[in-house]
Amino acid sequence: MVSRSRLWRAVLAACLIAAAPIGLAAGPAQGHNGCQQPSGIRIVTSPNRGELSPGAPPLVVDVHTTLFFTGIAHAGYPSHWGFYDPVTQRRFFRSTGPAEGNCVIRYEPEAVPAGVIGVGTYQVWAIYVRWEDHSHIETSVLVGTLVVNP
Amino acid sequence: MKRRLRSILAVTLAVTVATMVVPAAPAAAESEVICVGSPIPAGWIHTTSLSTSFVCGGGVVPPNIVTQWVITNISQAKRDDVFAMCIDPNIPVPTGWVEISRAVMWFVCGYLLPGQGAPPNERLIKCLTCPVRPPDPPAPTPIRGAFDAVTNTGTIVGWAQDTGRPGQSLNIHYYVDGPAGIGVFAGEGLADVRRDDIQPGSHGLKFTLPAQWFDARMHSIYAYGIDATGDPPALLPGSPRMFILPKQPIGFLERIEPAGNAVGWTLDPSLFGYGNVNSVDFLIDGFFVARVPANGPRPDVNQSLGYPADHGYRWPIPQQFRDGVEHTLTARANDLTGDEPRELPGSPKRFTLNRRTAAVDVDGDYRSDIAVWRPGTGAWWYRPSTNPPGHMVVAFGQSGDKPLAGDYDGDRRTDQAVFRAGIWYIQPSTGGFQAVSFGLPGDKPVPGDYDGDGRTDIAVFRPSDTLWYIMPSTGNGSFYAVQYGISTDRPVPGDYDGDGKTDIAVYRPIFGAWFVHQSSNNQDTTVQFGLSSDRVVQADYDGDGRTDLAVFRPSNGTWHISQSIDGRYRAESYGLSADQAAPADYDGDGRADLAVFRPGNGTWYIRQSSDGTDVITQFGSPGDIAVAGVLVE
Repeated sequence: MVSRSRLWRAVLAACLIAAAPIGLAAGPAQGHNGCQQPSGIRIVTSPNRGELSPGAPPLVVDVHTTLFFTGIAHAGYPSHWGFYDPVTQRRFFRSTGPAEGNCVIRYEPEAVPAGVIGVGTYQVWAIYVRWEDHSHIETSVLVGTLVVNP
Repeated sequence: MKRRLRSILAVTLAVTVATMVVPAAPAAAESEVICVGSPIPAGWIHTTSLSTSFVCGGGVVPPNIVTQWVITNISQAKRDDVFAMCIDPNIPVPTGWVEISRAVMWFVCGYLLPGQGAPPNERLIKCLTCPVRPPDPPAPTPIRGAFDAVTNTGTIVGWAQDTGRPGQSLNIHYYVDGPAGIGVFAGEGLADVRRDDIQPGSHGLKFTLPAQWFDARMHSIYAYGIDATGDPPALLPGSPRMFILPKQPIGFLERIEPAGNAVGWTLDPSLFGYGNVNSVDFLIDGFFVARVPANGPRPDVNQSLGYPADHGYRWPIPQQFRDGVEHTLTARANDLTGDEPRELPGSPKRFTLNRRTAAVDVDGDYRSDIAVWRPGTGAWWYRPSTNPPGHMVVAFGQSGDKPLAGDYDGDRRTDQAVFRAGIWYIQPSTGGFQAVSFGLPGDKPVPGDYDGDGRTDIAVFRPSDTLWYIMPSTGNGSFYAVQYGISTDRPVPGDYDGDGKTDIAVYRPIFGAWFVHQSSNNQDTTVQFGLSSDRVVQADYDGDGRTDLAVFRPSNGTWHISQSIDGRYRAESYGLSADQAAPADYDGDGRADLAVFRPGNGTWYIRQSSDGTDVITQFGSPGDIAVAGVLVE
């Protein structure tokens, strides 16, 4: 039965190797050892007009400004952003890519020209999963006010 | 390590070759490697051979020397399973199995290289006594669909269909602020709205979020289709969707029209409010003045925001604030579900308005005075509203004249005027006398403020050539002509567009149709409203500064009014068939009152728009002609 044991080990190894890519792609990563900074989300701008994060003063930009969505969140989970102008009832939603293994939501792919959102005064909301929260509950936060001028 | 590696490679090679040459064999059969000559357990067969050095007691062996057998467990085989087994001396076909063929197969059962004339080394066996293989489980039939959006009204948009039962509508479960197991269960609903693009059956999502989610916060929502054929619930593509549903009333105070109407819209966007009529509180100079329903049609709001029902308002600012002094108007929308009222965007607005001149106003108090013209004597009899019991008599005109009261001198007081065979005779309240030749004997006089300067202009409609001849008071005696209408039309001039200028307009009795040439944009409008036997009584009944289409139906004494303020229809019985309709703003609230003069007994009947009460007063004699703000033929 030595040979039988070898055969099983070979089969098991083959199965693991074959299943590994599926496992990696199927769900968020579980570890947070690499986060090293508290969860939080923010909008940064280019050219630099300041940034918007919870507690910050209103961010005022023009339609030519590019907004970038970034932050620290649970690895593998995206952040969702919502802009709501209660006067015009205009809304704009955007979801980022998932936070990477170091919990960083890379800002480079998350560029949105302010002109796409449109002129107005918006309440900016964000939904994300804090890495400190192991139950994976979504956190909805009023980030602040964004003013988009012509 | 080398042995292990060789063993693995050998097994892999053997399994691969066996699979290639015997495709009918079950892929999941258990295999083992044993030394040559070892007993083969019951229920196992020898399926191929290996040549491996340093195993089974041997040293280095050439590749054509068999050192091991690969045996395969066939005890779990099912009927009609076919296996390939090596042909070995003294190893029979297992009990219950039969040999169905023999073959020479290279690279298995000890034959490592192809060669000529070799005897068969492999037999195909088939089980006759094994249990019948159960039918294959049904293939999964996953749900397909899409979660497209959450509308402003909190309604889910999308579709879902089980490919296994494409005609059956699915139940959908919704979770807010997280997926199932983490988020809050927000409800469920059958996706049974018919969509022609998703057939067969009805698969459109139909679910409105509960009121608790109308809270002006951002949430995520996940939609799961509950499979009709037992497959696991499926998260609909497009999930999660984000949504923000407003809590407080929304809307605008858009503008104050030149005619003095506050215009805008508002609605309560909460689940229980968006289809209902909201109301607006108007404050002027900080003090509450009126609560007005926002129930006028606003198709642009319906279309752009997706809310049903009517939510517009047009509120005429009351007369007491039309005093030439600047005021501040604030519109505050109420909330139908008990939330805080909200000052509408666009507030506050400043305005300065002047009162509108009443149709017949000899005392200058902006209220129409009761007046008759007595053809026999040419006397104008007035009952000034500032001195109700008293009266005033002015002799001007003669039998056969057409009395045409108006403010020809612009002093906001009514002047006497008559039209006689192409001659206008005017007695301005500021004094003097004018006789102006303008028109022909068969013309119909149509005085009005066509240039918007506050003074009545002389004008006639000539049925013979359907031309309107207008002499603006600002034109220093010049005039212009406009073709409009046909010879049988009744001229019905009025300020239908509210720009402060009289519009050319006709009523065509044969169709009951109104044709209006709007002075504000030179556009023509056509509306069917009335019957051929009706009398036209156009006036501003709703107080929005625009003339309303209106007729008086003598057959039953009914007034029919198309209100310009909200497009709604109003009907009210008031008067008898022989009465003369004389609508005007007698109570000074800015709205024309229903009123008739009954020549038979010289009595006026006025239903005041300000409070709905009737004023009945005797003034005039049989044969008198009521003088009011409308030309009644």
